[in-house]
Amino acid sequence: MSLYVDICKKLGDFSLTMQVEFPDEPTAVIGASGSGKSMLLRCIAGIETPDDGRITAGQDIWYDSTKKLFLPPQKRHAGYLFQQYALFENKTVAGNIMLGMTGTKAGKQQRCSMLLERFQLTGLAGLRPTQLSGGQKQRTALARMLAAEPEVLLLDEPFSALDTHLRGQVRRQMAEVMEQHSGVSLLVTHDFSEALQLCSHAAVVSDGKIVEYGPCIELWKQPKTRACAELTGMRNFIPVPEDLEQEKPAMQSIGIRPEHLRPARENDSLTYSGVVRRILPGIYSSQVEIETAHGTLLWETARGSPELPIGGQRITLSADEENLHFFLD
Amino acid sequence: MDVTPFVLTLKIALLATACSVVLGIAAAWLVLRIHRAQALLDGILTLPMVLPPTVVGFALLLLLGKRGPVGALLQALDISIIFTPTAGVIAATVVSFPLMYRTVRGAMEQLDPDLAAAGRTLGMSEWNIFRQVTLPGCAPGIAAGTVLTFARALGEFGATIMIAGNIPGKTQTMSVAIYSAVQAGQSHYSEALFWAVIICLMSFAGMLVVNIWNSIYVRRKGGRGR
Repeated sequence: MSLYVDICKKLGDFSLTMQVEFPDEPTAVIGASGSGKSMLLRCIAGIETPDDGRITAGQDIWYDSTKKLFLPPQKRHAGYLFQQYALFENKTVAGNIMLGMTGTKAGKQQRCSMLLERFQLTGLAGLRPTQLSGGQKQRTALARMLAAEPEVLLLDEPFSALDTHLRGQVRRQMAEVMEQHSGVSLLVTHDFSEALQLCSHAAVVSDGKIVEYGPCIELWKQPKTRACAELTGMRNFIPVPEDLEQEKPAMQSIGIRPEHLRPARENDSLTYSGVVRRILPGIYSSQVEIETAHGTLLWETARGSPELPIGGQRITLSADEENLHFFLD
Repeated sequence: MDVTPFVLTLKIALLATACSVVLGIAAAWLVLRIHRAQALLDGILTLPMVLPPTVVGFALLLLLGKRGPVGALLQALDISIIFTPTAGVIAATVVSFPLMYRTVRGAMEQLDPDLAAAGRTLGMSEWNIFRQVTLPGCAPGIAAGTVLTFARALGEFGATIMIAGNIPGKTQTMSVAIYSAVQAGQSHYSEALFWAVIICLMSFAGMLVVNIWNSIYVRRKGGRGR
């Protein structure tokens, strides 16, 4: 069962136009904030209604504007994990989990205790959401989502509200949930490393459109758009020099990852020289800010590297040809 | 001393509050789901709060009187409402209803829309979401609205005297009794004062009860988050 989405939605000045098919595997939807990635998820869940288009899950039509068909969220069996969890504060942890269940009371309680155990919530069953920590709330929300036995998982920035030290822990749990799920699961995020860890494929969203789709690693290796390059950590964008305009027509900028910059060698054709402004030390690598005629460049190099310059030094950098990426914008 | 004004006022105020609570919650829920003509509907529902009570009373008289559309219908069924305690309940309900409606609507608007959305994605029916998510989420607003409504119904005078009248032992409520006592001259002022104090005490007690309930509710919900 795959999820097919082809929708349009206008929101003031912003318009969302997306056509994509998500296969039966964990897929990330990456985009900057305000790019429309959460709106896509909300339209799939049926929380928001598109202006027109079509959404289908396998054989089931969830939304079709031409047939005036809108399947209510209750019948879509799509589990949604909300950014701020949206737990019911008047219910206990167990009460929250059991709300989405069907069947006999004994059956519900049995499945609830299984979920409580799976998400290390057994001792917290009687507490209310306001008494929980961020990680516990997150696990309660996950358990509640799975309790309704969803066929599609929609995870809206599940780690954004957590402290850094909790993220790793929850990420492992999330990986397990996504692995065990047999249908489509979508993870909305702005963090490429999350996508890389949890999903094999990713769709890149920019300005209301899906600009790229492919295996996560390919998006990192060969980004075709500047939006994708920026989201996967490319930081340096330089205008294409005149002598290359013939060779690369219509290309507007060259992108180079900070870790792909290196001191220039004799036969390098493209070089950038400037003055070292600042050095930001890190554990394994340091980042060097260089003020050049084309703006500030960011160079990442090993911490103890003999190449590492000092502040105020004038240096010339370049990159191997395969590490130069050309973009239309 | 005749205590019927006290008993009658309490009965009318409680009944009117009950009606206003149900109608106010239902109206707030409905208005928030309607997108077209929402402002117009909101204006109509709020009108009884801002109009002089005599205008509301007069409108009700035209509507429920023997020649009015509703009154004529009831007349055919041999029911007369004007100058009965029922008219008192209707007057108090119409005048106090906007307070409930507005307070609950405010509470519903403050409620995180993701909560209802979460309920839907979990497969809960709209009725269950209303009952188990929306209502509990608005509980403090509903409580506050109930106090305001009860206090307003307790003191209702203008519309009441227009359609329920001032029949001692039948429709004379405390606030009407105060008016009558003052009209009867200075020798009856002690009677007016007595009813005035009773109304003050009852309104105050109502607020106290809800405030206590509210603090218990907050504590039960777990208080401040960690």
